[in-house]
Amino acid sequence: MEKINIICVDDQAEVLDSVIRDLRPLSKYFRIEECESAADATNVMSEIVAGGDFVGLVISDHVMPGKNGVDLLGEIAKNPSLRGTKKILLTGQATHSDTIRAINDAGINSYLEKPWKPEELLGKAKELLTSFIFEKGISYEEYMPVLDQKILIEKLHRG
Amino acid sequence: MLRKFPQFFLPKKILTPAAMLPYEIEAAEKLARLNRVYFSDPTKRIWVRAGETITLEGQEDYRLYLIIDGEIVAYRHDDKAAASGRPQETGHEIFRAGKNSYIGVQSFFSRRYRMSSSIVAETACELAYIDTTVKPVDPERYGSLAEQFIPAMLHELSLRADRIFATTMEKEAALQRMNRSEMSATLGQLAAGIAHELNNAVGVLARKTGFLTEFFSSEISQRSHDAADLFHRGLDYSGLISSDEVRHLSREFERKYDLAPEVAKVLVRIARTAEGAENLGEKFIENLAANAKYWELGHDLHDMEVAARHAIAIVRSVKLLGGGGNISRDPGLSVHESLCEAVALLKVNLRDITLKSDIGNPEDCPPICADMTEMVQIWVNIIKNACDALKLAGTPDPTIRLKMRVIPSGTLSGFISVEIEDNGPGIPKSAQQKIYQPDFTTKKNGLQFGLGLGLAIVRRIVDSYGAEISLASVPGQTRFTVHIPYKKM
Repeated sequence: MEKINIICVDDQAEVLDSVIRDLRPLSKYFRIEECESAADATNVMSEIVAGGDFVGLVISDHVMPGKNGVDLLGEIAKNPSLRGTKKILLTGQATHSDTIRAINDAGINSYLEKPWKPEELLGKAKELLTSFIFEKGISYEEYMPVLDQKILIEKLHRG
Repeated sequence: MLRKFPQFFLPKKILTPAAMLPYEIEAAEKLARLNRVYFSDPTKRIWVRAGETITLEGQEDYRLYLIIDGEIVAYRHDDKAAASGRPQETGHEIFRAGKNSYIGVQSFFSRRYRMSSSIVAETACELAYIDTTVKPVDPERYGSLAEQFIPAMLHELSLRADRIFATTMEKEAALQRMNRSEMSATLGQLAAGIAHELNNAVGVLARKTGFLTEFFSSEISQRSHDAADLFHRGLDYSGLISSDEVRHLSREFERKYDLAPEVAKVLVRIARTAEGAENLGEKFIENLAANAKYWELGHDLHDMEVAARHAIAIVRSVKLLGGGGNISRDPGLSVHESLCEAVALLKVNLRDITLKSDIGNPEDCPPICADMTEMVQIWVNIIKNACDALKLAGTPDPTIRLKMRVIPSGTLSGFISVEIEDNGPGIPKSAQQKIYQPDFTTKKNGLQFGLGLGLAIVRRIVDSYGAEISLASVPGQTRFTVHIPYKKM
């Protein structure tokens, strides 16, 4: 049975820890990986893909040493083996042009400003993961408790 | 045709013929003739000592002078200011002139015979002159006296035009400097205001975090020894394990000890290695599985404290830029100690960097009158920039060298010199001029703070100590040198 992974990227350990903790309600259903850099995230994702598992969602910080979040998410968007992976950008200091680039080139699904509201982050993550599960045709029953109800009803109604 | 601009305030140099245009050669030859023909009379020479007045503004003077040697300064009073009754002393300096310059061209040829400015010898001067008794020489060939002196008048006119241009440029530059300093003063005030407000808010967060920590610590200790142990381990944890290591080890622990992923991650942070986990023992791991939340609680409080300290440090930098903060410059400060302090503060940044420290012994470093925070601020900013540059460039074998020397003799006698050198990519020539500007940063897309304040703060502090900072940078070797004055015993 393939696992769905959530990748969290932030260079600041305390911030990364907060993201992980806010996502804890999902930890029984998804594997949550924490990465301190874009490079580390790239490594983990290729391991996951090689193991035949899914990268369901990537939540990345924006400004990081080395490769930044927009570039990382942009690469994911272009990577055929990560087609369908959902992307959230967490940002503290985005300029207008960065925002445009994030949406146009990196195809991010959601954009959250730091400091984020925990329920908003969790809600967004559930929503995007629910879509991911349906788009990939993964059997959704075992994820029921953490699926986004609105999307679930809509999909079931249509399907 | 545009030509290289002549040196301001100094007489035009006699150019070599090769560098001159035909009309210039002609003019120079004419001037040479004038000087030879009219200013060679040994009875019409005066010698003045430095500081002596040659002629006074407004006074009658029937001479036209040529400076043979030395330098003069011309002063002029402001007529409007004089009319308003404001006291005036020497007047304003309006120009300087040296060898081969004429004085009184306007006064002489207008037949007004009054100088428009006072002429004072700046150095000992030798002057030749003509007066109203002069007769034109060779008028059949060269024309009237005034005609013969046209080159001298033109020379004078061009000098005046140059002076006006130079003054205008200088005024412009001064105005720009003023605007800049006004802007940074406003920015400083604004920053100081924000810093003050933030300082209070962050101060409350830091203090209340402390209270919470004390409360939990005593409550948990009373209830369970095991939980208290985990709580304190969380509180003391400062993570130096990469996320990659954490991931691999925690996967191993999940399998080996049958732990939930969250618990396995905590175990990695406590044990650090597989052997470390073995050493902690089964009982400890069992306790951890049940009580990991206490470790997390401790760790949360730890993070809160770290974040508050971080914020306080930023507020402090901003305050320092504005020149505020609690600065007290006391005698007996050791530059050696301030360097050690800075290195200690940057422990995390220097983690993957080789630090070669050649700063001598603390007892050899003469004490200076300074504030520790300011000194540390200088070193921290320079060293941190070096760390960031090395990391960003991924320099192989990144190295920072610190060198401190007390200079007892020679041209820099009475200075302590501190060098901070890295083997990073260097600062491009184009950026070297701008690095001290408060809005200049190369870290727009990089590390945690890219306010561009670091070196602006350094510059301000260095200036305020009468110290000097210099930079020598090529790829592979960037060195900041700071010279701090000390009083010799």
